[in-house]
Amino acid sequence: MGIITISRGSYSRGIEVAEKLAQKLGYECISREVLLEASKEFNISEVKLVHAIEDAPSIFDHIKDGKRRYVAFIREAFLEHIQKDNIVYHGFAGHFFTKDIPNILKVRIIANMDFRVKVLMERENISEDKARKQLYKIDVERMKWSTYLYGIDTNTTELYDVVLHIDCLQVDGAVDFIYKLAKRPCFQTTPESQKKIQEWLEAAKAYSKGAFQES
Amino acid sequence: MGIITISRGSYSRGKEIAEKLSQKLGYECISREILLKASKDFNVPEVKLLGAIQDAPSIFDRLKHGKKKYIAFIRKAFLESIQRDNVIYHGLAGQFFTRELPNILKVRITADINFRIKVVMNRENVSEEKARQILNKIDEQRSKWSMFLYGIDTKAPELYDIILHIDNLRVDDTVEILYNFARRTCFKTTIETQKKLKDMLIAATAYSLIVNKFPEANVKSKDGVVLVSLESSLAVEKKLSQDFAKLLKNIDGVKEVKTFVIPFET
Repeated sequence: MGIITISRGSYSRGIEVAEKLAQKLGYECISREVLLEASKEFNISEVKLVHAIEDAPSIFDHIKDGKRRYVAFIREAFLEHIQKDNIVYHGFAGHFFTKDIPNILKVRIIANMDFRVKVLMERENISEDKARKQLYKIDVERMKWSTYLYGIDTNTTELYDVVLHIDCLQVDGAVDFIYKLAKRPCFQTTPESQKKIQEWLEAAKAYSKGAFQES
Repeated sequence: MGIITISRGSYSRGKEIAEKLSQKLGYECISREILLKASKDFNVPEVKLLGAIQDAPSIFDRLKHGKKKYIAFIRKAFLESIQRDNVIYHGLAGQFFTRELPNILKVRITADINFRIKVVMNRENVSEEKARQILNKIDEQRSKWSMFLYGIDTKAPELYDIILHIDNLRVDDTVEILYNFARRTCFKTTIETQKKLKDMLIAATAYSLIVNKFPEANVKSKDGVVLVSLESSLAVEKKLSQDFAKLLKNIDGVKEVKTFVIPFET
């Protein structure tokens, strides 16, 4: 019984880790679903929403109170999912939404620049120089995005229980490590943590409703 | 067989973790011993060495290479101590001194700011506000220090193999996690690591012997062949070559000393 959030540097093989980990633990693995729900509520096409996450945020400029409402919807969709328990969530801002909820295992997976460059070169069949430039751009955009929406820098290590470098461990080593970590008593869901998720979900729902009515 | 460096946020219980972990692994645990050794080997008061490794450099330090010199001494003492293997170093700069070395487990321990504030309040008997100020100042000094000397913030996650946060995780959890982590094959000392460490120690020893006169010199070693490169006038190249060879040839493991002068005029 547990909830794990995985924040990942781009091209650091974090998705692979999340999926394999969920399989090993017998948990549900979610990421895109949260976005899909938010995009439905928000009436923005998912493609556009994904695009907005990749680039610096401008999509909300034309919507009244867009930023605040967007965060509220994402939060609601996220909490709705995790209250089912036995979840591995990978992707944006999971650690932000669970900041004050105890017993949730918050992980960040990172990799050395050279490692990421290699992954990108292989995946996109591009030169080293181009891969490096692309990664730099992605990092800047992501930082802008998370600072704009949540007021946090995802590189702040204090947000996570553990920050893991994938270079030496590789994917299977990281899965094995997080699997054992997730089994520790301090990361098991308790009635207290469930109650807190429930309270937060109710608050998020009330907020979203209010936000809708105002507009 | 392994070497572990633990960088710890101040008041984050990292010392306790290092000590318990070393006991569990049967490794030697060192920290202040490095400063004491450097102080004895180079005849410099410990307080000066501590200032060099702890405080952000002043303008005076930047001009006089004071910090550079003391850090060279500390680095040499550090590399000599970790050569014994099966050792945990906890404290300042370990992650920088071992940056190029493979298979060394580099750990950082952090703790929630509210937890740290409580520790400071209890230990120093100060108000919450004062405790926060103290912690902010320490953190700022650490950032400035590492930015000046290594061009990267000591908090940067890419410096470490693993960062553990004391909050949900307690001291004993962390010790157990690190115990299992350290036993992974990728963190075992290899022949390659030992060879590289030996060369790094040779280079650090050589630099510590010339830093007073040539703080800008760059010293490297590969398989016991030492290369000293520095900017100077070509007219003194021969003399410098002879002086360095004489001074450095007796360092344990040195086979040859080469000098490369980069002419001032270029």
